[in-house]
Amino acid sequence: MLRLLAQRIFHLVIVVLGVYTALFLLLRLTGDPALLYVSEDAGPAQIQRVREQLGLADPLPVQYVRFLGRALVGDFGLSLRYNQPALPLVLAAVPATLELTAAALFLSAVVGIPVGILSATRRNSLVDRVSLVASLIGQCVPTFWLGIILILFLALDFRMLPPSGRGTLAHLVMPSLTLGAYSTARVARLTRSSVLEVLSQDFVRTARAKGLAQHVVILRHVLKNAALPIVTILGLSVSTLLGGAVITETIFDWPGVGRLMVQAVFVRDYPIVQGTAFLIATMVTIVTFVTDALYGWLDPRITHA
Amino acid sequence: MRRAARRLLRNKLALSAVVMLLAIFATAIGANLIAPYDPTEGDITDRLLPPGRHPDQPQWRLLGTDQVGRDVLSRLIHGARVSLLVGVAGTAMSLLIGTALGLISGFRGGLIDRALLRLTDIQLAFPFIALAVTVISVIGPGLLNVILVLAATGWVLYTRVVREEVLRAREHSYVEAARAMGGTDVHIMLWHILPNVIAPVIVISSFAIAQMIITEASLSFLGLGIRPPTPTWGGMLSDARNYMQVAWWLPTFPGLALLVTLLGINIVGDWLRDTLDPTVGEAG
Repeated sequence: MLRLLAQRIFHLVIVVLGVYTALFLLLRLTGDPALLYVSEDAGPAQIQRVREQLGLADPLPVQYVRFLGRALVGDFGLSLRYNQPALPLVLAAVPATLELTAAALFLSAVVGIPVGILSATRRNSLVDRVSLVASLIGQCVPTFWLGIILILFLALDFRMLPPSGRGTLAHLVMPSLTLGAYSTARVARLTRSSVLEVLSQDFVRTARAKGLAQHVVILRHVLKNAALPIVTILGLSVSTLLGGAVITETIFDWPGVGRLMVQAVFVRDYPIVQGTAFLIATMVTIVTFVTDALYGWLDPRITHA
Repeated sequence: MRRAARRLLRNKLALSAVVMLLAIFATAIGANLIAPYDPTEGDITDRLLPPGRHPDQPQWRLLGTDQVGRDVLSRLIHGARVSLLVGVAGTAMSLLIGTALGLISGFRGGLIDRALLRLTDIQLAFPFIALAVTVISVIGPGLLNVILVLAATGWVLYTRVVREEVLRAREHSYVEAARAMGGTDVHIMLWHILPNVIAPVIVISSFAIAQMIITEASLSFLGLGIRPPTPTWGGMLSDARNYMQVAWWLPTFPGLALLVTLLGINIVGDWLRDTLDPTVGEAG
């Protein structure tokens, strides 16, 4: 387990290093960052002074090493917009994103898994067909469109829910529905196919032959064996959800990392962009680690040697 | 090929999806001929007309007009162009990049292989849309930039699949035989490896087109994709947000257009996966 943790941390470092190097190169290749810090009518002397202040006059490799060194200790620089260190600003937005992502993941699990099991155990029934069509549509419906339609009906027409912002549980309903629709559909589809696969195996027939009730067969024998792919897809969903949060948070004005990132992009606030990218990468890595650790617990045949 | 065609005829859902996609493609190609109005020009006095026939209008406003009096149907038709262009061009580019890197990775092995594999890890670990937003923040929005970003983020799966196939093929005795007979790497790639990767590559591409269309629409919706006045479905939805209470048709139709297109592509993709390549899993 420790070894796995070390490996994952190493991967995180590589991922973050990769994202950073790409950002660094792109930023330096596409223009002079000093121009972001001065007013538009600044003279060449003033620009040069800012360049020296920011260390932009040094050779590129020196800048790169310094850039990485600072990032390593969590120093992404001052936000251009708020004129405050970027990391605390980004960290302040994390709880909102976690809340939204957790709600959407919860929705995917408590709706997607039962629907998938029901579909599989009553194959070709009406329930199965309806859920297949629903999950196909759920996988295709664009996140932002779903959000807009929900706002239009539930918030503006019927005034049942607040259209935007964060605070009460009511605020959480529409964003988590919007964000969770895609992964719920995916979980349902995958649960159905993995349960079907397990159902066709000999030990299920044996369990039935010895007279076990249907629900015992499903709960004790089938689910345990179908759990691995379901856990995998739930783990992968977190990455998709964090990506989707970028859009969902913007639509519902949800004060999380995604909204912060999009706002920062508009005003070219790169320290914030870097900080949000770093945090998203970190969160994905942590989830991947947890998923991998769960594997060994669910299936002792898998060892992390 | 013929067998696939015959199977398609038997699967009504997939067949209707193919027909629908062909219709969307035809509409996009013939946009200038089909669209009743100019998609970028509108008269402010015609603003927010509901769908229908209006006596003072030269032609039907089948899907109404938007906040500056532009014809929604014409904008949808032209928007299909952008969506399909981005989807197809982005996928084609990432296919070329990904396949080339996969071949190199599989054949050369060693340090290049390990470095490329790590790079695919990096990309897969990072949410697609967040990566696209990050890169767009630096290189700026626009049609070409969006296509480039999509190509640069979409090559990973191809590289993985092609690399695996190369490694597997190298074990086969027929490839060893080909090599013993003096076949060069290029010969082996073309005759022994490419035929084996075509099926998974087609399946990946079908889902990739859908993902690129939705990513472009998301970026344009956020205002980070393709800039106005070019009509895009995502951009239309973004504009619609401010008028949706007074004009239901503005948010409805671009979303439906996206949904129908994505449904068509996904149904065809599912069918292709089941027909061509059952080994590519649900996540592929």
